[in-house]
Amino acid sequence: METPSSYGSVAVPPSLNHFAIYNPTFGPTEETQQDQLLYYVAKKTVPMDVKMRQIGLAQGLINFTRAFSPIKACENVHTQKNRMVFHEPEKDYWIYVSIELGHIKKLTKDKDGKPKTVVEYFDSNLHDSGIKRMLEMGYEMYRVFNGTFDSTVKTLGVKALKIKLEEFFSNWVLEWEFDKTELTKTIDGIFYLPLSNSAISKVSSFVEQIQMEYKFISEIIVLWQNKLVYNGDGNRSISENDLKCILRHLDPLISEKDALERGQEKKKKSKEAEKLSLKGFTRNFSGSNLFSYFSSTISPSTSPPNNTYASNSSNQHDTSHSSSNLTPSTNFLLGPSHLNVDDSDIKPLKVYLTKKVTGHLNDDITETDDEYESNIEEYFLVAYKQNDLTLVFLIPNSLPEGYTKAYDKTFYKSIHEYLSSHSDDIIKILNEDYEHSIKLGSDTDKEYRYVFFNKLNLAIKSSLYPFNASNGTSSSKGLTITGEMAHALYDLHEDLEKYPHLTEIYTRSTTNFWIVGKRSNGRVLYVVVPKKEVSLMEVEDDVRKLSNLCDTINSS
Amino acid sequence: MSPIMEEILSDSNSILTSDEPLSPTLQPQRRLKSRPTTQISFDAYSSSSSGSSIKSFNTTPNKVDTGADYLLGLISKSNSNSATSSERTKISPFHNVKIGKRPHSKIMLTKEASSEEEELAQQNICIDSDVPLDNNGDDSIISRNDISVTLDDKEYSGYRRKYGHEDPQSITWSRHRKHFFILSSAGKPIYTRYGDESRISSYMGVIQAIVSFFADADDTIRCINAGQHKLVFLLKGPLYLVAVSRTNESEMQLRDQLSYLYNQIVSVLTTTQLTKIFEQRVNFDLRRLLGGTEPFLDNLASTMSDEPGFMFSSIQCVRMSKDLRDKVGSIMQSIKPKDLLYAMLITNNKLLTLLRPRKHSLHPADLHLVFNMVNGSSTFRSVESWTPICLPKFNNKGFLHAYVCYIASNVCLLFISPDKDKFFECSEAKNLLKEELSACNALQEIEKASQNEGYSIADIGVPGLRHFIYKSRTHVQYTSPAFVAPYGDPREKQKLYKLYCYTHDRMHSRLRPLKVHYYVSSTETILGWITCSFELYAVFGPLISKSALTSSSHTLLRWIKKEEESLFIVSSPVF
Repeated sequence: METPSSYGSVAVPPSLNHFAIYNPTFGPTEETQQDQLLYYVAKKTVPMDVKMRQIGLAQGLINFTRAFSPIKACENVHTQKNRMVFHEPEKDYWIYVSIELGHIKKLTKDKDGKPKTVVEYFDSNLHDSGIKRMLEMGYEMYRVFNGTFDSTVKTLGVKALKIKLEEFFSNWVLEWEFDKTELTKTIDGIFYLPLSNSAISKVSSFVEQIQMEYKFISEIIVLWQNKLVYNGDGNRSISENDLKCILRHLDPLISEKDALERGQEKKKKSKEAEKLSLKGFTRNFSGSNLFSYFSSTISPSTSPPNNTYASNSSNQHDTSHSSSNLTPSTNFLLGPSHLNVDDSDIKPLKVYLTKKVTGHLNDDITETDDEYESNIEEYFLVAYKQNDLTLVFLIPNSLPEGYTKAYDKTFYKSIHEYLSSHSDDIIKILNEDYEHSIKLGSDTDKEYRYVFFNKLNLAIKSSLYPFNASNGTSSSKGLTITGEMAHALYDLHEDLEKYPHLTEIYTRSTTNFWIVGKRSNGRVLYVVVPKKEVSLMEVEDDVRKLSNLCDTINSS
Repeated sequence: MSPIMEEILSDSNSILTSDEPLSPTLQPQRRLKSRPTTQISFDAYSSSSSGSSIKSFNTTPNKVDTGADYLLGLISKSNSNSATSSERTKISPFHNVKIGKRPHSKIMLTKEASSEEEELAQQNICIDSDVPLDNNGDDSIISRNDISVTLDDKEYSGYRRKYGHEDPQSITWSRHRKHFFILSSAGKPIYTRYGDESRISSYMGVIQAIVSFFADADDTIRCINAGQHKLVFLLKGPLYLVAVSRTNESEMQLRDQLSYLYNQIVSVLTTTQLTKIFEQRVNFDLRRLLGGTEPFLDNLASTMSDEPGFMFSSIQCVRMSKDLRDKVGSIMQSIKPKDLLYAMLITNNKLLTLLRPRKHSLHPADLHLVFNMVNGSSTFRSVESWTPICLPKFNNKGFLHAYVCYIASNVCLLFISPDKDKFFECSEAKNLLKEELSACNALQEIEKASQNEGYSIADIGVPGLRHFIYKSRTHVQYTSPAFVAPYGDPREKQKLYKLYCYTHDRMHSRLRPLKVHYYVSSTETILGWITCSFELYAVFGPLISKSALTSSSHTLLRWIKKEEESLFIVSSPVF
């Protein structure tokens, strides 16, 4: 579309028009229509009547499409310039986003030589399922830390819900980067640390011992850096989705803490305290920025901390207070920052988890509202970090003992003492396994561009930036692919999702790179081969090597 | 006739004369009427108006002329509009033809006047069998044998759709796999594939409201996704076309299909006429002008669902030896009437040969409209017809005139001329052509070729290959073997067609087109391969290795190369 007369073009990424959450049953008449609106944000101020018209249109589209598709109403609308995406996480509650498509403005001359602007919109660079996933993840994060919309309305009223929504969504809706709805962002799997058999038994006995000591802790999750090490003994009651939400919430906390600790070491070396605390502060930010590439775009992980802090404001103050003190004793990522605080100052973080539906293979497909309704259980979430080891404790609110302990400073003191004296061994073992895992497959990671995803346990492994970059200590930051490849990879991913009977797809673009998706038993391997002169059979060789490797990793 | 009608019809002359013609000889000179149903615009003489023509059929079934009359009634709901506006052509039994002096009169010669019942049965089957094919994958596949051929006085008093009676509020209506709606920008229903236009007004109102909401914001709605359903919009000036589909076809493919429907309307009215009508009366009910052309829209709607030519924007040729094709071509060349634009022989939606002026090729989209016209009405099988047609890619502003006649049981001859008065020349040329073709035995040979169901995959002898579609980009033609086992069953065929659709769509993505698209499903392995000269879509079994697939594909390409001259029209005769 480049014309020789073009003398300038501006690329504009997709951006938010408006985002709304509404419930049409709250305002059935024309006078009460405004009551439907629960949350609304737009990039510019919008008068109420315009908001109402937008909601009216959304509802009109939903009703119209229901005439043909009664079960699944309107999911998205493509127009020449915009995209609308709808998500109904709970019955009659609609999350709805309108996005202006990415476009290129070109200054050209028309026939008479007069300058004119030509705008070209890129509909297919905004992936419907990617945006849908963003909305789903946003809702899941909200629900895990706030409970369902409906339960809030029932217990606290609509006003309380509006306040909660405002607190939760306002921080990140405007920061969405819609041009990054690529596969590397929307496949939100879990990074596992592959363990040797001896390490596995050490970790589980370590966890068992803690649970013997503290019987009211129903779940313990073990992390190494940002990788999952241990997630219960198979009878756990947390769904993978909720686990992901918790991990997403912890990710920035862990890296913040890491940055703090590194800053602290430096501080010990040079004594210029003031300068360095500033440095520590900036590093703090850059640390979270590293993650933001992965998460802020699609997952609201940057916001839940904010939200948590907002609702547990004392917690936030405590954390920031502790970070300025840099006292080594505050090992709780979530929990009290001082061990000497009063019980009344302890505001443990509550999470609302769904009971795991057993025998459900497609756990990452959102369950129906009913399941959410009847299966919500409240827990207190406590996280403790020592070295690269992070332990996450879930204490059921339903147990009277759990409730009292969560507010009891002696519990935190005791567990801190227990862990600081018992975890050295386990840290050593995990560190060895971690070093080993880095060596294993590091050659592959340099040679092949791939993403491996196991749908059964959401395990993910990839050599691509930014997956690999979140390794932190890994020497390479991961291999890069072009934007075109990333979009093509996503197209292929959407096809595999859409056509469950396909087991293999190989595509070669007109610019000659290959993209491969191969699936078996819920495991999917994506490979990008940016070589120009290779045949189908040669690409297959690469894929075969990689899938063998991924199988060995997966089974270890 | 309503005053509006008169106004429009009287205006039409001035509209057309004010056009800029493509070339003086090609300028359409005739006045518009609602074609093609009104192609036969003579009045039934046994009754006062054509509306009651069927009655006369029933009351006087032995009268020869009612046979023709009946045919008229069958495809034409209301030809009274045009019939009254033009001088009537009187047709007397047994080929005594009298032609009206007015330039707009249209002619039909009854060939076999006594076969009403047979015709009826044929027509009946024709109408019914349109739908089930599209219905594949649904639970209701109706075979031809299931269709009862009972004569019901009321049932066939006009063209009846299979699903015409359905209530738009019912689930059976909304669950159809692919709806097409055409409405005016004022929200007036013009066409619906299922049900009755007059009963879908409320839906059309909502569509109109949705379209204008986005239009107000200087935006254009293109597509809505809802579960399995896709709603695709095409806004063409005064017409809005909407597809509501759960066939898994892509937005692009559905929009192409809407374009074809739009072209079909243009082929009846021309864009000039269309624009003019709505400029004068935004609220105009276009059904009054299109009345009777529903069979063609219906036929197009169902053909598009399983005929790859639309998606590939190309046409298929009858496989025959180059010598025979050349021989037929040169005979056609020798007998062609004066002022001819195109001459062609077609059979079963396939092109046998095409004769064209050096300067003008024929766009596949226009050819599809011609095919659809010939297939949309069985009238052409029994009579010589002379009908106006607008070929939008050739010139969307004016009419051409088509002479249509079957010269063998399955072989249809078309002469397309810019001159409205060439019926007799064409008819004579046809007789001459028939004579000469018979003389050298070519007629029998092409008849034989036309009766072939196509070649079989077994003829090719490529190991592992189950089916394929090959499009020659240079010739804008495609070739494909007959659908035999495992794709003999319509349901399996439709499944395969879906896979072709998916591959085609992926490979022709606007932003990210592909050269190779290979995938394996539980039942098939599909290879899509596009180079600068061809597009190949080949189907293999699910377990074939990549090396076997590669070598088989090359074997296939060699076979096609060898057979190129019989599979494709490599050089159509020009004048």
